[in-house]
Amino acid sequence: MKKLTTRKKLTLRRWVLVLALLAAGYFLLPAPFFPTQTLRFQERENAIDRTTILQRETAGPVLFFLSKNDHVLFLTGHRYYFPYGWMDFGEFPLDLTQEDGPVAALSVRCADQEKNWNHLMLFGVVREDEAVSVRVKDAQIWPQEGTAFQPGDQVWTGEILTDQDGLRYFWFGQDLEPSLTALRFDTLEVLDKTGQVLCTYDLSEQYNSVSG
Amino acid sequence: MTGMDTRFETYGQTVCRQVRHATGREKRAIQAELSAHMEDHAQALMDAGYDEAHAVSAALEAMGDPEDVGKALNKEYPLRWLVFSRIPAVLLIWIVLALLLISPTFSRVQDNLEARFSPLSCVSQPGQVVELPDIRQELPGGNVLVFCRVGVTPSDGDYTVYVSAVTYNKNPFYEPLNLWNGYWDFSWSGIHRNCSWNDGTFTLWEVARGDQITFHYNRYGAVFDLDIPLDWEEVPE
Repeated sequence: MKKLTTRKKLTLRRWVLVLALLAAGYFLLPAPFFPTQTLRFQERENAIDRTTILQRETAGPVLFFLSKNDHVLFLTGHRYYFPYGWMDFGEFPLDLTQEDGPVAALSVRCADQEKNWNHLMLFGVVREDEAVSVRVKDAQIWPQEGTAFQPGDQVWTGEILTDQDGLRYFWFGQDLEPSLTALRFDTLEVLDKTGQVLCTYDLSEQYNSVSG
Repeated sequence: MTGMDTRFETYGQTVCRQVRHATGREKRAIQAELSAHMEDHAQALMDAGYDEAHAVSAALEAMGDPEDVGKALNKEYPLRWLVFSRIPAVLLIWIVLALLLISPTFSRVQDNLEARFSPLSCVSQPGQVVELPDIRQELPGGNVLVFCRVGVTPSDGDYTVYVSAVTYNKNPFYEPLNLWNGYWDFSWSGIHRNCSWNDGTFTLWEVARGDQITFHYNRYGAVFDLDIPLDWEEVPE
């Protein structure tokens, strides 16, 4: 029993030391242990008040958060690199104070050439009560040659969700052919339950991208 | 006592072969303790009149079958504690690697403190200095924006004005607002213009003599205007 106690004590002492170091490391280490730490960095870098995560989704090697506060809908990417921890992989704030129309949106393309990963996401808010979905069309691609991708065929739809505070938002995306360096939808339509277009939004100036 | 040592050592090794999850150090400790115990027993028997061979045999017999002893002892050294005791070492290696490979935390603290207490040392200083204001505006996320210098250079009948600014976070361990992100709204001559920040300074072109320069901030719910002080009487014609 004496030997077991000794091993147990030694093990517990080691754990106390490591936990103390990890607790200090939570603040001192530049290698965030959790992706939410990276989210807080991204908020501070943009002088954005703390946001609440609405949804999280993994696409390829990247974990994405869609978060919000009263003034911004914030899409952030987070990627884990050992031993560095969770690192920033793009931050895309949609400033809700700048647009008071029935809809506001951003499109974001994320890519990792080494991993042959290419992904386009669209997110935004809708202020039309009768809206149930959004549809994007009028796709533009780069390069325009050498790909089987037909932009004219591309019409994506996404469901409108409602959070507990009544914010109506959407967030959807798809993987793209790795050879496409850009895919941009120029038009977003807000639809009611019968499929009728309630309003449209010009997405052509709302395109962003990040690659790693 | 060489023969005694050999037999006791053999006994200890047989015991330890049954203790599967003890470390090398633990096994040596087990062997040492068993040997010491048997040596004491044998010595006591020899003091009582036994010869060495009988004393050793008696001591060994009293200990019992070494395999049975080993199996009983094995329960005192479960695998889970061995694994549990190794994990902190792995975590420690990870922490050390992270600290060695990247340590921007320390430079971030230094940058924050420097921007807070010595903002002029953080910016380039183009143009003839006209004002050395210390205008500080708090922003969300613990950020503070500091305008610390205004410089002027004549340019084709107008002036180029250099407004130096830095940011810091009130918590020195946190990232401050990144002024590299995007363009910033200034107005002069009654017109709003987007200016980029470079090397600590906003460059404002074609500023007419006497113009009032204002910085406008309207992002993510934070809205304010800041007049940038510029005493044109100090600016040579």
